Amino acid sequence: MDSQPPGLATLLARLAASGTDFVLVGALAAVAQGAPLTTFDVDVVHRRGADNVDRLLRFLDGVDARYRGRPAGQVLRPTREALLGDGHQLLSTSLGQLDVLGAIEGGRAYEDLAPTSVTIEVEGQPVKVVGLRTLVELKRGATSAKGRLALAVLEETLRRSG
Amino acid sequence: MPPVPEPPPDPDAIEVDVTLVDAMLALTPEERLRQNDRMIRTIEELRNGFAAARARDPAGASRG
Repeated sequence: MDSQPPGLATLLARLAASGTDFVLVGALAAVAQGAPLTTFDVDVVHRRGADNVDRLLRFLDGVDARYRGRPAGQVLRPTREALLGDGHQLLSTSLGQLDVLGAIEGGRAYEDLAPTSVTIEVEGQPVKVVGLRTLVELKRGATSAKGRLALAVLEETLRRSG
Repeated sequence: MPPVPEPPPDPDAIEVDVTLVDAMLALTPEERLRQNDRMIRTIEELRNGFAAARARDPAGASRG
C-alpha cells in the first residue's frame, strides 16, 4: 500500500481536474521536461477570464489555500479580484505550495504561453506545460547564482532532449 | 602543424552533470514529477533529522 502523502504531482493533477485553464511554468515545468532540478512549489499562469477565475477560486477553497508567510493566526485567502489581476499569489494549500501567477516575465499571460506549451498527462489529467525553449528564454536574464545554475541545467536539458 | 592549445577553462562556467539529465530524460513526465516529490520528502526528512539532532545536542549538530 502506498502511504506516501500526496505531492506536487497530485496538486497539479487536481488543479487540472478542476477544469481551470492554466499553464505550468517555473522549475516544475522544467522538471516535467527532464531537467534534474528539485522544487518545492507549483507555479502556474492561469487564464484570467471571469469564468476561469471562478473555477480556480472553487479549487483553491477546496484545498484550503491561504497566503504563505502570514503571521501565525492571520489567515488571508485569495480573492476573485486578486486572481483577475496580473499579480502573483503565493499560496499554501493542503496539497503543497502553489504560486498562482497572473503574468510572468515580460508581462506574458496565459494567452501568450498556451500556444507554445506542450501537454503532458498527470494522473490521467492533461496539463499544459510551458516549453523548455521558452523556459530557457525566460531564464536568460538571470543574474543570481541560483538562476544561472538553473539556466545551465535547462540549456543542457534542451540540448540533450533534441 | 603544432597542435592548437586548448583555451583556458572559464572559471565562471557551470558544469552540469549530464548523467542526471539523461536519467531524467529516460523517465516519463509523470515519473519526473514523482521523482521531484520523492526528493522533497527526502530533503524534509533530512531537515527534520538535523533539527531533532540540534534539539538533542545543540553543539554537536553544528560540528561538521
